[in-house]
Amino acid sequence: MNAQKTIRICIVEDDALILKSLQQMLNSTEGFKVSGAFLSAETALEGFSELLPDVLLLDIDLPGISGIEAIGAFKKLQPDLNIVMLTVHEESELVFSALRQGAVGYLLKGNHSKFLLNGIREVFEGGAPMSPSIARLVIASFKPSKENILSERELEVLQKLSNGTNNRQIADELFVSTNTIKAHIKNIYKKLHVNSRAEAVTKGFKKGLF
Amino acid sequence: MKIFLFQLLLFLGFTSVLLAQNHFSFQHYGVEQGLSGSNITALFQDSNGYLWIGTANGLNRGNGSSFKVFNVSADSTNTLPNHKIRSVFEDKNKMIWVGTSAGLSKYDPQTEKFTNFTKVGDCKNCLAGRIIKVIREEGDYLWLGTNAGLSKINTKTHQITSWWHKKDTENIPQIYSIIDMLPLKNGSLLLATDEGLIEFDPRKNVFKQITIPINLREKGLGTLFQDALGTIWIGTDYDGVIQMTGDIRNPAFQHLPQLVDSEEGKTTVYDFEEDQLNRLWIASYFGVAVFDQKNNTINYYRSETDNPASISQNAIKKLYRDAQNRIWLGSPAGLDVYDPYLNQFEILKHNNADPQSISSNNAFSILEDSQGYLWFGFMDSGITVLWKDENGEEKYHHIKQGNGDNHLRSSAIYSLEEDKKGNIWASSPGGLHIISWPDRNNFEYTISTVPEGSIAENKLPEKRIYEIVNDAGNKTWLATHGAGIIAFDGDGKARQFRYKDQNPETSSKDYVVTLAIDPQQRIWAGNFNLGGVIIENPATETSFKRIKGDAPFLMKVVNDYHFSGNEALLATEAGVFHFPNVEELLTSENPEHYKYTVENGLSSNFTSEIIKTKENEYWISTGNGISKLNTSEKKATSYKKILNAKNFEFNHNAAQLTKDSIIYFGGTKGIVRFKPKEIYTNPFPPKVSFSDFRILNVPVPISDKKLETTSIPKDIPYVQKVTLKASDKIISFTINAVNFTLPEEMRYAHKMEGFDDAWIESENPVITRSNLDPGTYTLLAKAANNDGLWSETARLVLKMPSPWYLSWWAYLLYGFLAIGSVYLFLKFRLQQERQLELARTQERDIFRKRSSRDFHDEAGTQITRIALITELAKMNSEKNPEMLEYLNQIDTNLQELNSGMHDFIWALDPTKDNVFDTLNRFVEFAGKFCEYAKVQFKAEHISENLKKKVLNMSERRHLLLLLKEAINNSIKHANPSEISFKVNSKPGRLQLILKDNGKGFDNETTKRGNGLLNMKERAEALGGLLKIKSETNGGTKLTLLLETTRLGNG
Repeated sequence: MNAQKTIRICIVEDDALILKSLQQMLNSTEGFKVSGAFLSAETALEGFSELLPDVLLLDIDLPGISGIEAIGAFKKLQPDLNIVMLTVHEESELVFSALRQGAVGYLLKGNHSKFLLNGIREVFEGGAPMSPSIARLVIASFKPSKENILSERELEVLQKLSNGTNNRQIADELFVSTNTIKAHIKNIYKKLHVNSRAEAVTKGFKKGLF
Repeated sequence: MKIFLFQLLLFLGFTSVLLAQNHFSFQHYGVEQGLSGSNITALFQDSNGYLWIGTANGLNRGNGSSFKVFNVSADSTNTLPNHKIRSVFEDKNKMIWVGTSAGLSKYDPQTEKFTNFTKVGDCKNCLAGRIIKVIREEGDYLWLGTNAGLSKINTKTHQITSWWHKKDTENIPQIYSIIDMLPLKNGSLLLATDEGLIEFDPRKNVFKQITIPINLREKGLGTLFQDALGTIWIGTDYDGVIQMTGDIRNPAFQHLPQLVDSEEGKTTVYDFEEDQLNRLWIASYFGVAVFDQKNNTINYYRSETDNPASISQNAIKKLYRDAQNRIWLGSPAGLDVYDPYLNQFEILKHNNADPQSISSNNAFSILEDSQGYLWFGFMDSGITVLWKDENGEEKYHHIKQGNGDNHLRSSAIYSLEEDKKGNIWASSPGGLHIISWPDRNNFEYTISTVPEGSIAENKLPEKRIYEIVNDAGNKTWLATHGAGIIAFDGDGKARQFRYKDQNPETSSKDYVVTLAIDPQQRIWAGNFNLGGVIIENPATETSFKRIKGDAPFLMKVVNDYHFSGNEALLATEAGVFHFPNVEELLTSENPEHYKYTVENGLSSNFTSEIIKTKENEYWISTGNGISKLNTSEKKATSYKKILNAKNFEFNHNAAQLTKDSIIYFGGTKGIVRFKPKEIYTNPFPPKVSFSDFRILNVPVPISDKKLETTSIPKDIPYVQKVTLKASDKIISFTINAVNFTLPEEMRYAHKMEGFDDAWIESENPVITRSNLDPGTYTLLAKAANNDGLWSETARLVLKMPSPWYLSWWAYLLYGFLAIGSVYLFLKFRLQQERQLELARTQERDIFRKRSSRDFHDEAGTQITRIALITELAKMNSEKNPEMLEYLNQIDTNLQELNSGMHDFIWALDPTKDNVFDTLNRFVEFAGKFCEYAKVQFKAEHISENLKKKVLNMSERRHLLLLLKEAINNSIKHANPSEISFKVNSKPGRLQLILKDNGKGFDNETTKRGNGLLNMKERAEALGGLLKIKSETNGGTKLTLLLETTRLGNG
């Protein structure tokens, strides 16, 4: 096994027990280091500036500012931050709206810790896991626009993802490497944020209405 | 002839209109207070008490504490048509109608929706003009005066009829701009237009010009008003006020230029209003005139630069009287208000521009002489004398410092007193003046001074005299600064009383502030260093001594004594002391007393003067405001706040109760006068409703649709009951109290019936409640005005539904127990769900959605906790293989529980009630599962048409578990390298094919396997047909045939 760079992680989780356990678990696993752990988005945003983590684990269900609302604020503080949502909700709509705000993926809380560790590592290495149901929502969200925001290849990748095909298989079928597929998915995410009309509308709404 | 006489009398009356001296104080609202603009264009109070303020830059709704601003929003259709507001009106259905410069708007406060009417011109349901200047209601209609004619709108059907000037018809005279309107008793409308006065008879549809037989410079009119007596008042564009009396068929007009404060009355009159004393308020370019028709007096109010209580600008454009009898005044410089309650204490102030005002604002002494003249002595400007002339008009005369025998030697006047000859004594640093003014019909008075020198020569030492008091005999007593107390008798003989004490600390303390003589002719005095002192026997003694019973006010300066029967009240710099038995002050070291201070209601502990009224109430002037004491009830009331001047410091010695029962108190900001008998408490309680309903500090949306989160169909004041959700952990409301009189002095109270035993009082209007137990509550709220008068109670029913779960697990110790319980629970739930489904299909969806979310939150969090702790336990038990084994078992079980729970939650979600989502869920699972097992998995695209095929919850579960079981079997037993999944959709049926290339099995031998049996049972439950074809080393093919005709259509 080649020496891996230690991944610096911040966690925002309102359940103190889960937060503490996650912190201990990650800190006692080689290659992971928790540099900040917070019980709310508000305190995290306050104490965040000097931590410069590689990955932020952000609970969706937070008191006060919710995880989804906080994404934008974190991104403002550190634009290249990889935000991974922690959730007990497998609801794809919720996860999708987190992705639209700029998160790169999500991890289910109750799952075995090896999924968690793998997920964090994958994100750190530039991956961005996408489940078929999310892929379907992404396709639907790009449908109404007339301009071709997504390239044909990206659409193809999405289509296959939505059918449940995994990255490795897509790579095989399209005769490219899995890294290329990961890059495509990353791009799709990027376009998802940049072209978010919903976001613009929400912003306008908040400002213009009384 | 009769009319002529009447007119003549009126005319004579008016020409000799008298100046009254009411000193009104106004308060101000502007952009700083939150108004969207300072140019006030419309004023209206609605039935909830809110004041609507139209400005040239948006509409505002004020509750007294804040303004809600309605501006034109560029990115919403639910907005006013224009930011220039011209008129506001509430119809009988409580809709707010707003006239703007670009049409009319109806605002529904319940739903916060605007409906706009902006079409103008010769078309159906169009307005006569764009600018809606005036709105009046009649039955189901509103009359609208526009810049180009008259319109009428039905408030319910919104049908509009318009009249405007057309060249080819003679029916309508030249009406262009309607400035004001007056509905008359005969059913007609009187219109003030830029072409003069017009009567419109709606039944006959006839317009008639009414000629005003007065030579006006311009025919345009500014405003119309009908007072309580029925007189119609017309404001003109350039010529002041015209009065119209008599029948509309044969009216009489009278030009009254004296009712505006300008040369010959040649000015624009903008608005009229009538106050609760039937005084007519007239707003013109040159300020406001208040005309009292009963007493035939008039007051003019202008903006005074050095008087913050004056109006903001002279050109008041709008006048409006609200239900609390306040008069609101709108000008381009902001909003002013005259509040009669806050004008109970009238403040006389110096006005540089007006010699008929007091000569300074710092009054040191006040005296009413035997002729009823009031004398005011000031710190720096001599004396002002105030009296009423034979007409009752108030007059001021000033006596100044200067040379000659009609001038004062000093401009500082400390004390004033009248002697038995009617001369006025006035003390100054420069000596004691004696003013002789026998004939008040002229101003030929003479001022002499008492010679200075030594007491032995019967002269006056050169010391300041703080107070002059005549006793019942012929002596005049003087309180001096440094020379003790001096008494002059009628022959001009002087006697001096000093303080004698062996104690050097207190000897030679001859600085006396105040003097008082009790019914026993004892002399009581206030001393700078000693506090209270007394000369018990003035005839024989030559010194004063400390009061024996001065312990309660030890060494505190006594500013005033008041004796009444056996009682004494002392105004000191540490509060007011009431001694029920004055003799105890002389005999006891610790006399019985009651003390009034800020703690029990006094305005300030520094008290100056005491005045007792016939009603046995004591009025106290203090270092900050005025107070009233009721000694029988031991109660003090502070009037600090309703005095329209902050930090009003009253001076010692400056107090007078006149023969007319008016109290004058002098202070640093002028002289306050009031009629103590007429001082009333604020009779208007606030109007209270709930507002700003928030859940978890997020405003609850208003929507008539059912949203995922809690919502309300109308704005919260219009809602009777709110049903909360279990996840609504923290809810909050603001008690909205509409009150414009001292809103910062309001108190709030709330009570949640079913939870609170008593009302909870607070100075904060926000109510927050968290973690409500299931049940129904009634939230009550009320507010009290500054005088403690409580409002009616607002009520709101809150329903918190019962959550269906119990949190019966907690920590790792209960891990296994928890797992078992969750399984049991799931089974139980599922069974109950089935029954529920059969029984109440309508309610099912909502319930399931809610349950699944709650379950997610609760169970998911608990499982996460257990999983993580297990993981940590595993890390720490590497040296204990037995323990590790147990922990691995927990782990495995947890993972199964977790995945089982997710499937269960998924099954609960009603939006996934179809074949499409079920199959996709399987595909997702299979993809992950195969990736993990390093098996190729291929699925063909699943048609979205399958969304229409509805599966109920148990069917979905069966289908999903059947397929999962199949793929599980395949990977476990057949060791394939590839698995594929395909869906063939045909009319009426659906074929699902799951195929692997594994080693297969013998159909005969494996048939009775448990897994296969399960799958068959599930297929039967689905009403489907399951075929499994397998050959050894030839792979396995599973086909499930489903009849889609029996599946519901979504």
